[in-house]
Amino acid sequence: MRTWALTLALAVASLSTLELFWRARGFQPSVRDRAELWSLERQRANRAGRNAVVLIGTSRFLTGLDPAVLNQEIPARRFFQLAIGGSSPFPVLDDLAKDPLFRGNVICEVHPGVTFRNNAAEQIPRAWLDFFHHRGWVADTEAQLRILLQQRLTLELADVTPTVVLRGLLQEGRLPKPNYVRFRADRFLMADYGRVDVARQMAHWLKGVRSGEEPLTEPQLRRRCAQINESASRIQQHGGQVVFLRMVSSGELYKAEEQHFPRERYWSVFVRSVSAPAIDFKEVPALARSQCAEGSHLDYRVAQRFSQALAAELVRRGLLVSRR
Amino acid sequence: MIFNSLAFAVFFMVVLFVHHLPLPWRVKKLNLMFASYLFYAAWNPPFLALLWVSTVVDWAVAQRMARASTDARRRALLMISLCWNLGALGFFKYANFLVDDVTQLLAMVGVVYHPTMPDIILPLGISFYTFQSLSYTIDVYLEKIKPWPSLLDYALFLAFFPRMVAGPIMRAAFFLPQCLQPRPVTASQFGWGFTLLVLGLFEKVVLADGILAPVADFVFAPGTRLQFVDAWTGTFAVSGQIFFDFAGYSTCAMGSGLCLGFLVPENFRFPYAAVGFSDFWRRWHISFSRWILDYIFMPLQMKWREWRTWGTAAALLMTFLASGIWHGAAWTFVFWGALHGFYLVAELLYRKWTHNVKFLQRNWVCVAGCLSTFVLISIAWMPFRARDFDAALAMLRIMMMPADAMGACLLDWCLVARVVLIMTGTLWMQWRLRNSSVEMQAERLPWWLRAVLVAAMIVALFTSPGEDRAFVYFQF
Repeated sequence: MRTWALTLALAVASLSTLELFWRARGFQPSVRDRAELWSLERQRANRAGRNAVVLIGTSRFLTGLDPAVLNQEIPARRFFQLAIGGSSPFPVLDDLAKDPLFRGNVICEVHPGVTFRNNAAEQIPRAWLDFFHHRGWVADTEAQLRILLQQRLTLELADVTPTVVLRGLLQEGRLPKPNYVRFRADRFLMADYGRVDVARQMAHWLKGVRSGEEPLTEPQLRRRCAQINESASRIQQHGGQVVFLRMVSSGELYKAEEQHFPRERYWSVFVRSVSAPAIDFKEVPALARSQCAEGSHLDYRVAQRFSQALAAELVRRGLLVSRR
Repeated sequence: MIFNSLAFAVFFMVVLFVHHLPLPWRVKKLNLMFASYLFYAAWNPPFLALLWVSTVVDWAVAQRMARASTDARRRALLMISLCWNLGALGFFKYANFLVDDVTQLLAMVGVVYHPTMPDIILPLGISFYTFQSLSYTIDVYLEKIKPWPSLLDYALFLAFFPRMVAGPIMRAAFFLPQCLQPRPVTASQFGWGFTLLVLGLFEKVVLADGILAPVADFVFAPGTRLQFVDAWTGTFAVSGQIFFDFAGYSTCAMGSGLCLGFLVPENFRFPYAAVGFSDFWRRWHISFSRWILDYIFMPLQMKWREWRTWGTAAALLMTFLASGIWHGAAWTFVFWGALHGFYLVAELLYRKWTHNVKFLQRNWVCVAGCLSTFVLISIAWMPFRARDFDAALAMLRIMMMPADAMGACLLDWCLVARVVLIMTGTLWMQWRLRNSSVEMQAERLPWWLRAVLVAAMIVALFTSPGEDRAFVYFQF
C-alpha cells in the first residue's frame, strides 16, 4: 500500500509540476485535430437533423468561422466545423450528399487555390471519411474522453512530449515555444497572429499560389462545377440548403489569387454553374472589412467579428434561417 | 477496445468495481463473461456469434467425447472440433490469400482467371481463441484433462477479456480450475497487477509507439532510398517495436487478470537475451511456442523418430512453417517461419556436433552467441514487417553491402541515437535479468525505488500522447 501511495504522490506531484511549468511558459491546452475529433462532429451533425449547418472548407474556415459565435447569432441552427486544413472540401460535400442520415445544411468554402486548380488534396478528407464510416461504436466515447483531457492539460500537447522536448534541447539548445494556433473542442482553430512573423507566412502563401499547379482550363472548370453542383443539388433535394462562400484573403495574397484565378474566368463561372447561392467576401462590406494579418487566415479576435458579420449576412439574405 | 485507450480505463474500472462487490461467485463470473463479450464487441459485434459457436461446439464435443463408447466415435468428435476451428480460421484468414495465389499460379501456366475476390474481414483474435479452444478438445481426446462441466466457465475461458485478442494462449488445465472457487485478491496482488498494467502500457505507448515505431515506419515506408545506417537502425527499431508492443500487451493481460484474481501465464521471458534459437522460442511468445511444440512438433517428431536427427529437423521445419502461416496469410510470413525453422535446424546440427566443447560455455562466447542470435532474429523480422519480398530483399542488400549505401543517413542522428540507446539498454537489461523474472526483480528492489520507477512510467505515459496504434499482434 505504501508503495502505491508514494507512487501516486510522486506521479501527481511530477505531472502537476510539469503542467504548471508549461503553462508558465505560455502553453495552453489544445484539442488534437484528428479523424476521431472530426468524426465526432460529423456524427453530431447527423444527429442534429435539419437544424445542422456544417462548415466544410480549408484552414481558412477553421480559423475564420467560429461555430460558437454562429450558434449564438443564429440560435435556430447548430453549426458544426468540418473543415480540414490544406484539403479539398469536395469529398466531404459528396459524402454529405450521399449520406441518407444527413438532413442538414452546408456552407462550403470556395478557395481559389483548391477549387480552381488541379490538385489532389483529398487524401486526408478521404482517410477521415473512411474512419468515420468504419469506426467501432466505442470510437466516439474514446474521442470524448480524450477531448476532456486535452481541453484541460497542456501535457497532452504534442509539442511538449519528452521526445520532442529532448530533441529540441539537443538540436537547437532550447525548449519548445508555444504554438500560435490551438484547437477548441468544437474544432475552431484559434490563431494568434500577434505571435507570428506574418511577412514570412505571407511569403509562404504567395509561393504556394504562384508555384502551385496550373489553374483549371475552361472544360475542366465546367466539369468540376458540374460535380460540385450535383452534390449540392442532392443535398437540396433532401431538404437542406447549400451556401458557397469565398473566404477573406488580404493584401498581396488576394492580389495574387485574383491574378491567377481571374474573377470573370473562375468565380463568375462557378456562381453561374451552381444552383446554390454563393457569397464572395468582397461583395459584402462587413466581411471585406476583416483583414488577414498574413494574407490567408483570420486572427481569432477578428474571426469573432467575421463570424458575426457572416451570420448577419445570412440572415439578411434569408439563408439558413428559417426552420424547414 | 485496446488497453491503451481511455475507454478501456473506464471499462476496466467498472468491471473491477462490480467484480469486487460482495456478490456470489457465479454472478461475478457472469459479470466477467459479459464484460469480455462487451470488450470483444467494441470492435465488430457480429463476430461475437463466431466466438459463441466455437464455445458451444467445443464444449459440447468435449462432453460427448467423455461419454463416447468407442475410439472411432471419439475420433469423429475430435474431427468435428478440428474441422470447425481450422475451417473457420482457414476461411476467415486464408480465403483471400488462397484465391489470390491460385489466380497467380494459373496465370503462370498461361490460364487467365479473374475470380471475384472474397471481401472477408478477419475476426479479431480468431487465431488465438481457436488455438485455445482446439487445445482443450485435443487434451480431452488425449485424456490429459477431463471435460469441464460448466459451460459458463468454458465461455469465460475462451472470452476472458485480458487475453482475448492477442493471447497468451491459455490452456484449459491452467485456467478452468481457477473458476472453481471465488478468488479473493490481496492488496499486494492488486498492487502488483496495477504495476504490471502500468509496465505493459509503458512498453507499448512510450517505447514501442512513441520511440521505435516512427523510425520503423520511416525506414519501411515505400519509396525511401535507404542508406546502410538507416537500414540497420530500422531493422533494430522493428525488433524493439515488435517486442515492446507484444510483450506490452501480454504484461497488460497479466496485470489486468491479476487485478481480477486470475493468473495469466507469462508470455515473454527476456527473449533478446536468448543464446540460440531454441532458447529464443522458450522465451518469446511462450504460450504459442508451447502450443506448437505440444500439438505439432511432438506428434511429428514421434512419427519421424526413426530418422533420428533428420526426423527432428524435418519436424522443426514443418512446425515453423505452420507457425509462419499462423502469423499471417502472406508468403512473407511463411518465409519468416521457414527462416526460423532453418535457424533451429542449423542450431540442432551445431549442438549435435559441438556438445562436448567446453569453450562454448565461456561467458564471452555466450554474450557473442546472444548478440548473434539477436542480429539473426532481427534480420528475420524484415520479411515479417516489409510489405513484400522485394522490399525485404532490397533492405537486406543495403545491410549486407555497405559499400553501395554509405551515403548520408536519411534518419536524423537523434532518431538513430534513440534506437541505439533503447536497444542497447534493452539487450543489456535482458542479459542481466535473463535467469529471473520481472516479479523477482521487483521484489529485490527497495519499496521506495519501486514507487519511483512506477511513478516515472506513469509520468511518461501521461506525457507521451502519441499516435493511437493498435497492438501489432491484433492482426494475427
